[in-house]
Amino acid sequence: MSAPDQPASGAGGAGGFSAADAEAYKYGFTTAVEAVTLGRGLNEEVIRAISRARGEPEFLLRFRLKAYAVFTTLEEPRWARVEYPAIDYQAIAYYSAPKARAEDGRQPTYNSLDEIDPEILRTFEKLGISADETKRLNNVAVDAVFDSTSVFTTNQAKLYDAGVIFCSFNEAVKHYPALVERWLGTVVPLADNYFAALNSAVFSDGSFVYIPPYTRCPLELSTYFRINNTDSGQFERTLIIADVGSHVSYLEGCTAPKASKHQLHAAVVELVALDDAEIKYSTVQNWYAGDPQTGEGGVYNFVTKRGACRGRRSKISWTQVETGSAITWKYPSCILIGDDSVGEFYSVALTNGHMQADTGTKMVHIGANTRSTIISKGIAADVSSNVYRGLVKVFPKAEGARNYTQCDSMLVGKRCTAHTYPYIDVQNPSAQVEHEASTSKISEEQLFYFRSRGINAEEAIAAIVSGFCKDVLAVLPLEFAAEAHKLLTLKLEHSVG
Amino acid sequence: MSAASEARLRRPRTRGAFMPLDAASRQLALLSVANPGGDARLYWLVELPALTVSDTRFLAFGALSGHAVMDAFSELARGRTVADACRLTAEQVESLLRDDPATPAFPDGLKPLAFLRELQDLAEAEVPQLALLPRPAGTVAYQRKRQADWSAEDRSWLPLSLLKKAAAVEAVCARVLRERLGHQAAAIVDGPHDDYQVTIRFTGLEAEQAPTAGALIQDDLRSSLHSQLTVTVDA
Repeated sequence: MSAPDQPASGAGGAGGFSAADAEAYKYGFTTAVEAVTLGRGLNEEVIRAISRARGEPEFLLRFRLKAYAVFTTLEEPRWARVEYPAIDYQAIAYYSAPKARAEDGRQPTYNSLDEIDPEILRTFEKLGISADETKRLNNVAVDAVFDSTSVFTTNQAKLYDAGVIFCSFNEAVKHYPALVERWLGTVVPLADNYFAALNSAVFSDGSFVYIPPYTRCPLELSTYFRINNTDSGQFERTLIIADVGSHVSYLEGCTAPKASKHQLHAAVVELVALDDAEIKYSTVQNWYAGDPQTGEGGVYNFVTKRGACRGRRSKISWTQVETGSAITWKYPSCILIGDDSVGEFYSVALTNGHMQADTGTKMVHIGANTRSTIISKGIAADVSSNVYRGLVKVFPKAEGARNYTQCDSMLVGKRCTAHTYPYIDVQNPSAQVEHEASTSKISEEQLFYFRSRGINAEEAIAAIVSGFCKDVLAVLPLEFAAEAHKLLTLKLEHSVG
Repeated sequence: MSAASEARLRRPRTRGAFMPLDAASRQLALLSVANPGGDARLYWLVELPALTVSDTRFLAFGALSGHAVMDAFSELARGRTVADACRLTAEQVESLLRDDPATPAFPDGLKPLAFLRELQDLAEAEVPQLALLPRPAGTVAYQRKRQADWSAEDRSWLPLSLLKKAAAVEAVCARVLRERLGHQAAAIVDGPHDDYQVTIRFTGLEAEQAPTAGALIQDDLRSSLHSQLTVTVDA
């Protein structure tokens, strides 16, 4: 992809970023690894080659080809309030996987880590993700995805003992093909939207989770996505199935190297919760956001995330902290099919520099007595644009449905923008829908109040933002909450106007 | 679903998976198949050349009844030869899930067990491919017994924190030294490591008395805390 036409200079409303840039995005390094990469371009042969490279069964190839056929008939959506030059989909490499180390006749250790390029393991160490289970926190199992492949998954044995399947998508396709075939595309159909169709055609790895009935997953599950090859896009797929009466908490983190070119990330996440099951899905998104002064580079983050509460009394909760990406286009949704099911969405979206975010959620009430809560906090700084777009839809049969939406925006500086587009469609008279919204600006008066007590402007902004986001940070898992708080503070450094 | 099936669904005894490392370190062959209908995958560790199923586990992901069925089947298969396990009938498995002999375990009879035949056929077809994997290089790190296999003494010992375990061991050491040797000897306890390994260094005790004191402490630890506790005396 080519770089977009952005203003040559454009320090935001408030002050330069250059000094802080390196500090602000410490994950911007690249790792030199030998990779198997398919040539650029997208056609049926490329899709067949991806499928061949991954040794996939026939049903998956058919799924991909059908998705590609749909993709060619769709047009890229342009309704979001984001601006970017046309993406050349033929200039992207759709598959890049690190080469496995060659067999050298050594005695086997049956440890998959021995087959991984040590450079990749070091990369994840640098990112704070250790493959060595003894060095990790005991309560988290991690699946580490590097470009198009999952390179390791920790604590699997402990999970298997509980009957929990947590593995890379590729491993799931190999060992549990019928399970994948049964659920793949049932929440986000391959023709759902342009980017979902693209993902369905070319998706590489991702995570697969199955929680058996009446099981509380003994560990937090976590996937860390790392884009390394700046020529390739990342198209991962995550599928989580929580069987009857089960519970799982899943965390997702991501980073990418700094590059002057834009990278495309088009992912699909599907969640299925059956009767009395609960899924808590948390994300701290920190893709490279591009040069804060010129807007050059950065990740285009076009993601389709959707959960289906199929069972009675099931619950899906999305919590997200969005602090990266040049462009974010993402609406984690809940389809509340089962009676008494619950959907929650807690979000903090922070934009600075030249970032553009059009994000929000969809709560679709189909079953009776379904409930949903939306708490969205948007923070815009510099010349960025931050949009909340949310849909609450109540179907005629959703007797007694209830929704509460709170949507707050905060402006830091004079040149950023914040917009809110709530869509409410109620087709059942017994439904109760509430919407609260506010827009505020960090005022001189607030800053003066802090300064007069010896607190400098940056610490003051961090404190104000922390208070503004507390409803969301409070529902994040502990380790993520600390990281998210640090990230928000770091991102807003030097943003004081 | 019968109460017995419900109990197996909620607390399966043989659920889990075996990895190649498990098979290689125990010098058994790994047989693992999943039925195309997507109900379950079985994992058997098979002793060669007798083809005896030494240990079994399963992962189920189909209907709720499938979890109970697989648990019962895995239990029945353990200890048989692969051929015998593959000849187990749906009736035999179902009988294990009945609350009383006269009442079927499932309202729709043997239908929920239909997938077993598929699995058994696939398992039998895998036999010619079974092979021992080479022993793993290096030493295998200690792995705590899986919770499903815990005995009563495991349940009271393993969940304790390291601090509590150490305190319990130290209390036993002090008592044994006082009661059995009756003088001013003291024990410096290192561990327990890997749940059961205790190293003790004695002070105020003649060198030739140390092994006896260690053995006395080990006996007491085994009778009062856990039968697998092992004492090593640090000379």
